[in-house]
Amino acid sequence: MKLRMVHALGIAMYVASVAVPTPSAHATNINFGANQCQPYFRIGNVHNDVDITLNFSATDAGLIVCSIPRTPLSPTATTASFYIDGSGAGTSCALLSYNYTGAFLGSVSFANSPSTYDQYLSLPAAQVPYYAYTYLYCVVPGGFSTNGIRGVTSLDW
Amino acid sequence: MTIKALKLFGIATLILFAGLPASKTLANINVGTNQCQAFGDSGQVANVFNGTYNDSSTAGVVMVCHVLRSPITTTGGAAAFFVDGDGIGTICTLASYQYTGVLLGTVTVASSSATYDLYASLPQEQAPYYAYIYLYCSVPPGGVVRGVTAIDN
Repeated sequence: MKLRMVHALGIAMYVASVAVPTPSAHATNINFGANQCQPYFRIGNVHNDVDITLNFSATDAGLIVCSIPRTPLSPTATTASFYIDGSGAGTSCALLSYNYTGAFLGSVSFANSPSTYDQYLSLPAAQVPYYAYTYLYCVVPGGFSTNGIRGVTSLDW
Repeated sequence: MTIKALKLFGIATLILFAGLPASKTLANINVGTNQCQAFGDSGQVANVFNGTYNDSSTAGVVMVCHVLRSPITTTGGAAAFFVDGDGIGTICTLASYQYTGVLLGTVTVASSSATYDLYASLPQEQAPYYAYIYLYCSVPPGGVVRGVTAIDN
Protein backbone atom coordinates (compact mmCIF):
# COMPACT_ATOMS: atom_id res chain seq x y z
CA MET A 1 0.00 0.00 0.00
CA LYS A 2 2.71 2.43 1.01
CA LEU A 3 4.80 1.49 -1.98
CA ARG A 4 1.93 2.23 -4.29
CA MET A 5 1.43 5.56 -2.59
CA VAL A 6 5.06 6.34 -3.20
CA HIS A 7 4.65 5.38 -6.81
CA ALA A 8 1.59 7.57 -7.07
CA LEU A 9 3.56 10.36 -5.43
CA GLY A 10 6.25 9.96 -8.06
CA ILE A 11 3.65 10.16 -10.76
CA ALA A 12 2.12 13.23 -9.17
CA MET A 13 5.55 14.85 -9.03
CA TYR A 14 6.09 14.03 -12.67
CA VAL A 15 2.74 15.41 -13.70
CA ALA A 16 3.32 18.52 -11.62
CA SER A 17 6.74 18.95 -13.22
CA VAL A 18 5.47 18.85 -16.77
CA ALA A 19 3.52 21.84 -17.94
CA VAL A 20 1.46 19.85 -20.44
CA PRO A 21 1.26 16.13 -19.64
CA THR A 22 1.50 13.86 -22.64
CA PRO A 23 -1.96 12.30 -22.90
CA SER A 24 -0.73 9.20 -24.65
CA ALA A 25 1.47 8.38 -21.69
CA HIS A 26 -1.64 7.84 -19.63
CA ALA A 27 -4.16 6.29 -21.90
CA THR A 28 -4.24 4.50 -25.18
CA ASN A 29 -6.77 2.34 -26.93
CA ILE A 30 -6.49 -1.36 -26.25
CA ASN A 31 -8.43 -3.69 -28.53
CA PHE A 32 -8.56 -7.32 -27.62
CA GLY A 33 -10.49 -10.42 -28.50
CA ALA A 34 -12.58 -12.24 -25.98
CA ASN A 35 -11.00 -15.68 -26.19
CA GLN A 36 -9.75 -15.21 -22.65
CA CYS A 37 -13.27 -14.95 -21.24
CA GLN A 38 -14.31 -17.67 -18.89
CA PRO A 39 -17.57 -19.15 -17.70
CA TYR A 40 -18.78 -17.58 -14.51
CA PHE A 41 -18.01 -20.40 -12.20
CA ARG A 42 -21.17 -21.05 -10.30
CA ILE A 43 -24.72 -21.40 -11.44
CA GLY A 44 -26.25 -23.47 -8.70
CA ASN A 45 -22.91 -25.23 -8.31
CA VAL A 46 -22.97 -26.35 -11.91
CA HIS A 47 -20.44 -25.17 -14.45
CA ASN A 48 -22.03 -23.41 -17.36
CA ASP A 49 -20.53 -24.18 -20.69
CA VAL A 50 -18.46 -21.76 -22.71
CA ASP A 51 -17.01 -22.54 -26.08
CA ILE A 52 -13.80 -20.63 -26.70
CA THR A 53 -13.33 -20.33 -30.45
CA LEU A 54 -11.05 -18.51 -32.82
CA ASN A 55 -12.95 -15.27 -32.66
CA PHE A 56 -15.43 -15.72 -29.88
CA SER A 57 -16.33 -16.74 -26.38
CA ALA A 58 -19.64 -18.38 -27.20
CA THR A 59 -21.98 -19.99 -24.74
CA ASP A 60 -24.96 -22.23 -24.44
CA ALA A 61 -26.88 -19.71 -22.38
CA GLY A 62 -24.72 -18.63 -19.53
CA LEU A 63 -22.63 -16.11 -17.72
CA ILE A 64 -19.25 -15.04 -18.99
CA VAL A 65 -16.59 -13.04 -17.20
CA CYS A 66 -13.75 -11.30 -18.99
CA SER A 67 -10.80 -9.26 -17.82
CA ILE A 68 -10.53 -5.86 -19.46
CA PRO A 69 -7.06 -4.44 -19.97
CA ARG A 70 -6.90 -0.68 -19.80
CA THR A 71 -4.48 2.13 -19.36
CA PRO A 72 -5.00 4.78 -16.69
CA LEU A 73 -7.03 7.79 -17.71
CA SER A 74 -5.36 11.05 -18.55
CA PRO A 75 -5.69 13.70 -15.83
CA THR A 76 -8.28 15.59 -17.85
CA ALA A 77 -10.47 12.60 -18.73
CA THR A 78 -13.98 12.61 -17.37
CA THR A 79 -14.95 9.05 -18.29
CA ALA A 80 -13.48 5.60 -18.83
CA SER A 81 -15.05 4.32 -22.02
CA PHE A 82 -15.34 0.96 -23.70
CA TYR A 83 -16.95 -0.75 -26.66
CA ILE A 84 -18.34 -4.23 -26.14
CA ASP A 85 -18.80 -6.20 -29.36
CA GLY A 86 -20.56 -9.45 -29.95
CA SER A 87 -23.59 -11.34 -31.17
CA GLY A 88 -26.73 -12.70 -29.59
CA ALA A 89 -30.02 -10.87 -29.30
CA GLY A 90 -30.89 -10.27 -25.68
CA THR A 91 -27.34 -10.17 -24.37
CA SER A 92 -26.88 -8.21 -21.15
CA CYS A 93 -23.51 -7.09 -19.81
CA ALA A 94 -22.21 -5.21 -16.81
CA LEU A 95 -18.88 -3.48 -16.59
CA LEU A 96 -17.58 -3.30 -13.04
CA SER A 97 -14.76 -1.31 -11.51
CA TYR A 98 -12.91 -2.38 -8.39
CA ASN A 99 -10.03 -0.66 -6.72
CA TYR A 100 -6.84 -2.67 -6.28
CA THR A 101 -7.84 -3.18 -2.66
CA GLY A 102 -11.00 -4.99 -3.73
CA ALA A 103 -13.34 -2.11 -2.95
CA PHE A 104 -16.24 -1.87 -5.39
CA LEU A 105 -16.23 1.50 -7.14
CA GLY A 106 -19.03 1.42 -9.70
CA SER A 107 -20.72 -0.33 -12.57
CA VAL A 108 -22.56 0.33 -15.80
CA SER A 109 -24.61 -2.07 -17.87
CA PHE A 110 -26.68 -2.64 -20.95
CA ALA A 111 -29.46 -5.16 -21.57
CA ASN A 112 -31.41 -6.78 -24.36
CA SER A 113 -28.92 -6.18 -27.12
CA PRO A 114 -29.78 -6.61 -30.80
CA SER A 115 -28.45 -9.68 -32.60
CA THR A 116 -25.16 -7.95 -33.36
CA TYR A 117 -24.01 -5.18 -31.10
CA ASP A 118 -21.29 -2.62 -30.71
CA GLN A 119 -22.22 -1.29 -27.32
CA TYR A 120 -20.62 1.79 -25.81
CA LEU A 121 -20.28 1.86 -22.04
CA SER A 122 -18.61 4.41 -19.82
CA LEU A 123 -17.93 4.98 -16.18
CA PRO A 124 -17.19 8.33 -14.55
CA ALA A 125 -13.47 8.88 -14.11
CA ALA A 126 -13.97 9.06 -10.36
CA GLN A 127 -15.07 5.40 -10.42
CA VAL A 128 -12.00 4.29 -12.35
CA PRO A 129 -8.97 5.68 -10.53
CA TYR A 130 -5.39 5.07 -11.55
CA TYR A 131 -4.99 1.58 -10.13
CA ALA A 132 -8.53 0.26 -10.52
CA TYR A 133 -9.34 -2.96 -12.36
CA THR A 134 -12.31 -3.31 -14.68
CA TYR A 135 -14.19 -6.53 -15.34
CA LEU A 136 -16.90 -7.48 -17.78
CA TYR A 137 -19.74 -9.77 -16.82
CA CYS A 138 -22.25 -10.85 -19.49
CA VAL A 139 -25.39 -12.95 -19.66
CA VAL A 140 -25.41 -14.42 -23.16
CA PRO A 141 -28.38 -16.28 -24.63
CA GLY A 142 -27.86 -19.80 -25.91
CA GLY A 143 -26.58 -20.54 -29.37
CA PHE A 144 -23.16 -22.06 -29.71
CA SER A 145 -21.05 -20.53 -32.45
CA THR A 146 -23.50 -17.72 -32.94
CA ASN A 147 -23.94 -15.99 -29.61
CA GLY A 148 -21.04 -14.65 -27.65
CA ILE A 149 -18.63 -11.86 -26.85
CA ARG A 150 -16.30 -10.99 -29.72
CA GLY A 151 -14.11 -8.34 -28.19
CA VAL A 152 -13.73 -5.25 -26.07
CA THR A 153 -11.98 -1.98 -26.82
CA SER A 154 -10.77 0.26 -24.02
CA LEU A 155 -10.84 3.78 -25.40
CA ASP A 156 -8.25 6.47 -25.08
CA TRP A 157 -10.62 9.28 -24.18
CA MET B 1 10.55 4.23 1.32
CA THR B 2 12.06 7.72 1.13
CA ILE B 3 14.80 6.38 -1.11
CA LYS B 4 12.21 4.93 -3.45
CA ALA B 5 10.36 8.24 -3.52
CA LEU B 6 13.56 10.06 -4.32
CA LYS B 7 14.36 7.53 -6.99
CA LEU B 8 10.97 7.99 -8.59
CA PHE B 9 11.30 11.74 -8.42
CA GLY B 10 14.75 11.44 -9.94
CA ILE B 11 13.38 9.38 -12.79
CA ALA B 12 10.57 11.86 -13.29
CA THR B 13 13.02 14.76 -13.29
CA LEU B 14 15.29 12.95 -15.73
CA ILE B 15 12.39 12.38 -18.07
CA LEU B 16 11.40 16.02 -17.77
CA PHE B 17 14.82 17.37 -18.59
CA ALA B 18 15.54 14.76 -21.22
CA GLY B 19 12.44 15.92 -23.04
CA LEU B 20 9.68 13.36 -23.23
CA PRO B 21 8.95 12.46 -26.87
CA ALA B 22 5.46 13.42 -27.92
CA SER B 23 5.03 9.99 -29.45
CA LYS B 24 5.64 8.18 -26.18
CA THR B 25 2.89 5.62 -25.83
CA LEU B 26 4.10 3.52 -22.94
CA ALA B 27 1.59 3.47 -20.14
CA ASN B 28 0.47 1.44 -17.20
CA ILE B 29 -1.72 -1.50 -18.12
CA ASN B 30 -4.21 -2.65 -15.52
CA VAL B 31 -5.84 -5.99 -16.13
CA GLY B 32 -8.17 -8.13 -14.05
CA THR B 33 -7.55 -11.82 -13.68
CA ASN B 34 -10.70 -13.43 -14.99
CA GLN B 35 -8.52 -15.10 -17.59
CA CYS B 36 -6.44 -16.99 -15.00
CA GLN B 37 -6.54 -20.78 -15.04
CA ALA B 38 -5.68 -23.55 -12.65
CA PHE B 39 -2.21 -24.91 -13.38
CA GLY B 40 -2.57 -28.54 -14.45
CA ASP B 41 -4.45 -30.53 -11.86
CA SER B 42 -3.46 -28.28 -9.01
CA GLY B 43 -7.04 -27.57 -8.07
CA GLN B 44 -10.15 -25.74 -9.11
CA VAL B 45 -10.55 -22.04 -9.62
CA ALA B 46 -13.63 -19.87 -9.79
CA ASN B 47 -13.57 -17.11 -12.39
CA VAL B 48 -15.99 -14.57 -11.01
CA PHE B 49 -16.67 -10.94 -11.78
CA ASN B 50 -13.93 -9.44 -9.68
CA GLY B 51 -11.07 -11.89 -9.97
CA THR B 52 -10.16 -15.56 -9.91
CA TYR B 53 -10.65 -17.42 -6.65
CA ASN B 54 -9.35 -20.64 -5.23
CA ASP B 55 -12.63 -22.47 -4.90
CA SER B 56 -11.38 -24.85 -2.25
CA SER B 57 -11.80 -24.18 1.44
CA THR B 58 -9.15 -26.72 2.32
CA ALA B 59 -6.49 -26.92 -0.37
CA GLY B 60 -4.27 -24.49 -2.21
CA VAL B 61 -4.23 -24.06 -5.96
CA VAL B 62 -1.69 -22.80 -8.46
CA MET B 63 -3.04 -20.27 -10.93
CA VAL B 64 -1.44 -19.17 -14.16
CA CYS B 65 -2.27 -15.86 -15.77
CA HIS B 66 -1.04 -13.89 -18.72
CA VAL B 67 0.39 -10.47 -18.01
CA LEU B 68 -0.02 -7.60 -20.44
CA ARG B 69 2.78 -5.09 -20.69
CA SER B 70 4.42 -2.53 -22.94
CA PRO B 71 8.12 -2.84 -23.75
CA ILE B 72 10.53 -0.95 -21.53
CA THR B 73 11.88 2.12 -23.23
CA THR B 74 14.21 3.46 -20.55
CA THR B 75 17.75 2.07 -20.72
CA GLY B 76 18.53 0.35 -17.47
CA GLY B 77 14.87 0.31 -16.53
CA ALA B 78 12.87 -2.51 -15.08
CA ALA B 79 9.72 -4.40 -15.89
CA ALA B 80 7.71 -3.68 -12.78
CA PHE B 81 4.34 -4.93 -11.67
CA PHE B 82 1.83 -4.82 -8.88
CA VAL B 83 -0.04 -8.04 -8.11
CA ASP B 84 -3.21 -7.56 -6.08
CA GLY B 85 -5.48 -9.93 -4.24
CA ASP B 86 -6.49 -11.52 -0.99
CA GLY B 87 -5.02 -14.48 0.88
CA ILE B 88 -2.28 -14.53 3.47
CA GLY B 89 0.55 -16.77 2.37
CA THR B 90 -0.03 -16.27 -1.35
CA ILE B 91 3.20 -16.76 -3.30
CA CYS B 92 3.49 -15.39 -6.81
CA THR B 93 6.20 -15.76 -9.40
CA LEU B 94 6.56 -13.63 -12.49
CA ALA B 95 8.47 -15.48 -15.19
CA SER B 96 9.89 -13.85 -18.27
CA TYR B 97 10.37 -15.84 -21.44
CA GLN B 98 11.93 -14.69 -24.65
CA TYR B 99 9.69 -15.04 -27.68
CA THR B 100 11.81 -18.03 -28.59
CA GLY B 101 10.82 -19.79 -25.38
CA VAL B 102 14.05 -19.22 -23.49
CA LEU B 103 13.58 -18.52 -19.79
CA LEU B 104 15.11 -15.13 -19.05
CA GLY B 105 14.39 -14.65 -15.39
CA THR B 106 11.92 -14.90 -12.56
CA VAL B 107 10.99 -12.96 -9.47
CA THR B 108 8.94 -14.26 -6.57
CA VAL B 109 6.96 -12.30 -4.01
CA ALA B 110 4.80 -13.44 -1.10
CA SER B 111 1.93 -12.01 0.87
CA SER B 112 2.09 -11.71 4.60
CA SER B 113 -1.26 -9.96 4.86
CA ALA B 114 -4.84 -10.88 4.11
CA THR B 115 -5.10 -8.27 1.35
CA TYR B 116 -1.94 -7.80 -0.63
CA ASP B 117 -0.50 -5.32 -3.07
CA LEU B 118 2.77 -6.95 -4.07
CA TYR B 119 5.46 -5.17 -6.03
CA ALA B 120 7.78 -7.21 -8.23
CA SER B 121 10.27 -6.23 -10.89
CA LEU B 122 12.64 -7.78 -13.38
CA PRO B 123 15.69 -6.00 -14.76
CA GLN B 124 15.45 -4.89 -18.35
CA GLU B 125 17.90 -7.51 -19.56
CA GLN B 126 15.48 -10.17 -18.28
CA ALA B 127 12.49 -8.54 -19.94
CA PRO B 128 13.66 -7.43 -23.38
CA TYR B 129 11.48 -5.86 -26.00
CA TYR B 130 9.73 -8.97 -27.27
CA ALA B 131 9.65 -11.05 -24.08
CA TYR B 132 6.45 -12.41 -22.58
CA ILE B 133 5.66 -12.29 -18.88
CA TYR B 134 3.62 -14.95 -17.11
CA LEU B 135 2.24 -15.01 -13.60
CA TYR B 136 2.08 -18.14 -11.45
CA CYS B 137 0.50 -17.86 -8.02
CA SER B 138 0.11 -20.40 -5.26
CA VAL B 139 -3.14 -19.31 -3.68
CA PRO B 140 -4.36 -20.53 -0.29
CA PRO B 141 -7.92 -21.76 0.25
CA GLY B 142 -10.43 -19.02 -0.44
CA GLY B 143 -7.75 -16.68 -1.80
CA VAL B 144 -8.19 -14.50 -4.86
CA VAL B 145 -5.92 -12.92 -7.42
CA ARG B 146 -7.66 -9.70 -8.34
CA GLY B 147 -5.46 -8.07 -10.91
CA VAL B 148 -2.03 -7.20 -12.23
CA THR B 149 -0.76 -3.76 -13.16
CA ALA B 150 2.21 -3.40 -15.45
CA ILE B 151 3.91 -0.19 -14.42
CA ASP B 152 5.06 2.37 -16.91
CA ASN B 153 8.71 2.82 -16.01
